[in-house]
Amino acid sequence: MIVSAAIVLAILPFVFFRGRELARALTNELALYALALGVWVFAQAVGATDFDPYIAIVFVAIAQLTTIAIQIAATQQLSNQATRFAIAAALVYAVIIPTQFRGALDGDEPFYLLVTESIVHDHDLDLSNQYRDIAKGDTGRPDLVPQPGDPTGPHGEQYSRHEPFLPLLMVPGYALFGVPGAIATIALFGVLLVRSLVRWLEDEGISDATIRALMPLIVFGPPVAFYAVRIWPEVPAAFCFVEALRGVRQQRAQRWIPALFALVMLKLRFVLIGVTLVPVILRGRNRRLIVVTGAILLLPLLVVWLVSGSATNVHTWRELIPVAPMLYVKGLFGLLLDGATGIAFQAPLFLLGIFALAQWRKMPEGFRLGAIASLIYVVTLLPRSEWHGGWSPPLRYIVVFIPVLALGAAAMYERSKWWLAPIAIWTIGITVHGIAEPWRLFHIANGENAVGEWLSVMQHSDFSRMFPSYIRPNFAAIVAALAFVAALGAWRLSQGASTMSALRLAPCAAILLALFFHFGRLPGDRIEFEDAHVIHNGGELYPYEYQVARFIYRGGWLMKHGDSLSFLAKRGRYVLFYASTQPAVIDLGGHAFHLDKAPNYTMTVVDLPITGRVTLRCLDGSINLDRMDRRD
Amino acid sequence: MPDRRSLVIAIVAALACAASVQFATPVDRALPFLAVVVVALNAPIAVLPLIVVENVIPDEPTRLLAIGIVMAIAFASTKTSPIITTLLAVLVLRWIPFHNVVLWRELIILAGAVAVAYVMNGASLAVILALFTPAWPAKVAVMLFVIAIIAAFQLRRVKGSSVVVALVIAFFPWSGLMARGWGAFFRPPHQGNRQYLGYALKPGATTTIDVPADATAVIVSGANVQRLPCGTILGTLNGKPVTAPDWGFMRREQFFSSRNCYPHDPAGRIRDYGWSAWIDGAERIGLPHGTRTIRVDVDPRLPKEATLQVEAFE
Repeated sequence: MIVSAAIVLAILPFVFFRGRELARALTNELALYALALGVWVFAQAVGATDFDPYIAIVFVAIAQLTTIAIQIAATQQLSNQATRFAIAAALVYAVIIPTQFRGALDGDEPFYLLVTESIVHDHDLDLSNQYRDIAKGDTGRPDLVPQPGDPTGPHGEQYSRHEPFLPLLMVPGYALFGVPGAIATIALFGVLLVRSLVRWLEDEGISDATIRALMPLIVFGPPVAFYAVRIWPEVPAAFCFVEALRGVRQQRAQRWIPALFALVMLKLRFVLIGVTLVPVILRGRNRRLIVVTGAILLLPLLVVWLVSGSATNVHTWRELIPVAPMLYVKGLFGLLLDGATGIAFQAPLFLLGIFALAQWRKMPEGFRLGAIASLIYVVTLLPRSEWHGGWSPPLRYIVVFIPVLALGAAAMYERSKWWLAPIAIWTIGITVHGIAEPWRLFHIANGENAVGEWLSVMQHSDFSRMFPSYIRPNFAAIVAALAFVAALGAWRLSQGASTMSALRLAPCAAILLALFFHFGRLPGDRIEFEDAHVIHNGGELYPYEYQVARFIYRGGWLMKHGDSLSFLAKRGRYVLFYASTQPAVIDLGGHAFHLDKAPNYTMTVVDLPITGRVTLRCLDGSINLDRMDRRD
Repeated sequence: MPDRRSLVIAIVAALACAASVQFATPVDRALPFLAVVVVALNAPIAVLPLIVVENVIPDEPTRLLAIGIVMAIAFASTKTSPIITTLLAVLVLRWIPFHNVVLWRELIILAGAVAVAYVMNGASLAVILALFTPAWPAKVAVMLFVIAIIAAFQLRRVKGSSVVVALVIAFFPWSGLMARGWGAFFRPPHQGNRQYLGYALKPGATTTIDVPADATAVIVSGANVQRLPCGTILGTLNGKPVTAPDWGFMRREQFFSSRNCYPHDPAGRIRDYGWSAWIDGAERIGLPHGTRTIRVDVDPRLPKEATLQVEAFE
């Protein structure tokens, strides 16, 4: 893997540069290797060995990629850049794919693969024999069982809830090369997405310099790089979406018809994009096109009905009916700002695309068309309890809109280019993390994020509360939402004329960062007992990590006689939320509390006499501790 | 001259860093100074990773190395003039910890480095010279820079590289080691579990010591032997010759006048920080399996003030 990465990194400069620029790129690469080697030798000499060598290697590879990206941005001219970026994407994804095998296929991935297996081996969609011989299958998941609500046939057939189009696309790759071939198929769509996206940006009038500056972050950064090397329909869908938009803008039916067809076939929810897009396309068009488009939108419903017996599969029409407004607010800000699953933290470049909405009239027409096409999909997504994507890498449900957000970001780039440095630094961090530890892209959606957990474990203090969470709404979420609205308003009022610069940004960010670490070390007002900052001596997580649809449960920490927890807390009166099937006795900071039996969650008041590290022991019975809120 | 805005930014960055200092080493405590340096390099964004590194890496060597790498990236990406770059690089390399700085000696080196940078219109050679130039004796430093400035007129066509400066800066928390302890890169010092003895044997002295059951090596060093040539036999251990450098020969004050070599099997510790960093000259001598006692004979021909130190068993 290291050798293949080194080879790809050596080839990449040849894709983009010639002559002196090529020589400079190769020299830079050698210099960076020399620096890395020097650091490694020196680290051995001074005993600086408290780091994971694998992460260090990934970091060096990403640093090399960054150096090349900086040179791409600085280069004066780059002909045929769509193809060059596509080749670069192919090379880099080819290296990333093996890194993903450090973790098992997860989320929906093994189910898609199982359907592909069934098509290739049995020529059907019935998975009952696949589940029966799951240990012999290619999924590498002997624990795999049908998902709750998966359709069944009259003769014991077991189908998957997932649409069969993606597995069909993966058939050639899987038949030839097994699982790597299946994933390579998705990567191929990633490459096509990159090429189409560059073409679209060019069509929409984005300057070559801007494309060169932003594309490396889009191609090699999250979420595209992560979804292009895993089995999800999101990247193929993003490719189809951008092709559909290009086709509509160019008024080329032969482009948008197949693209729209493939898009809606990939996932039923993408029909909502098609439904919004079609009235725009068909204004004043002939009747034949209307019939074709109607057929395109109805076909996936028909396929799903044939497979599952219901045209909406596991969904219902009721999901389209507006519900409580607060759910929309939570979902919207969650998608934008959530520490674990929001754009701001997981792919900050695309936040510029959101700011582009505030300059609606100045934006390219393609951006406006894409934004309108996204509307119904996003509105129906927001109130869902699974708005964050569930058990999947972050930003799952909005990967399909990345081309639109990328266009918005590109249109905003000239006025906000000083943001690129901090965005790039953060993006590099996420990319290294996702490539080095791919299994950590999946999260139990408990309101913490990887950074918060890491700091909490390290400092034994609740750093997770410093990140906005809309999964488990906290004070930081309110602050972040208000700050975001204020920033958007200021941006709107300033007509996008940015007065920000790195020089002004850095000291403000430095102060915020210093405050972040200072307050992060202090005890908070709420203790969630399953969180990483709590030192658990015994007990277990509730519900367990791999519980299907875990996000709909109220999490907690199960304790029985003899188990204990330790955490930082302020002195004062707290409300303790718990559930217990039998009366229990706990010791909290040296005071015993008798808790009544409470099969459903209930609360009781407890007092903590001192500020500092507190130990909670279960003295008798068993109890599910949810959280503790300070009330004075 | 810095404008008022840069000055405010530097002060704010330094305050943020001062509030973030978590550890007591001179490099950690110099974080506000490093913040001012990166602002002067027009790379203020580097203040953020400095604060993060200080807060998230508890292991001292790893943290200091990470701080070095952040500074290296700031130096590599700077577009400031070679003179400013050199000035800042020399301050970072040689003036931390500040309490170890002998002002007049370091001002000579600073002036010499800036002069070389001015003549060459590049920082690389100046920074390398500043790293390796000894402050003791000062006349050597002066002579070296006079020669360097003359040579610089001839070398003006040689293009420097910010990568070279970055490579040097990356290790600034132990720049003294870079300057005086090259052997450590190839044979890094390491320590095992030790049972300390603390013998200091004068020339002609003989002693026998019981070896603990699990001991595999004995740690020795010399004292007041820095002027003896490399490889001088200090005595014998069970009849085999013992060579060991002076315990403090790598100190910045002693190194230039010392004729000792880096130990073959180094067992010393890295001491101090920045340009004051050095490794003590402890040498590890392996013991054959089953050795129960060692007999140490110190060569009577050694200078009378010299001693052979038997420090510990490992």
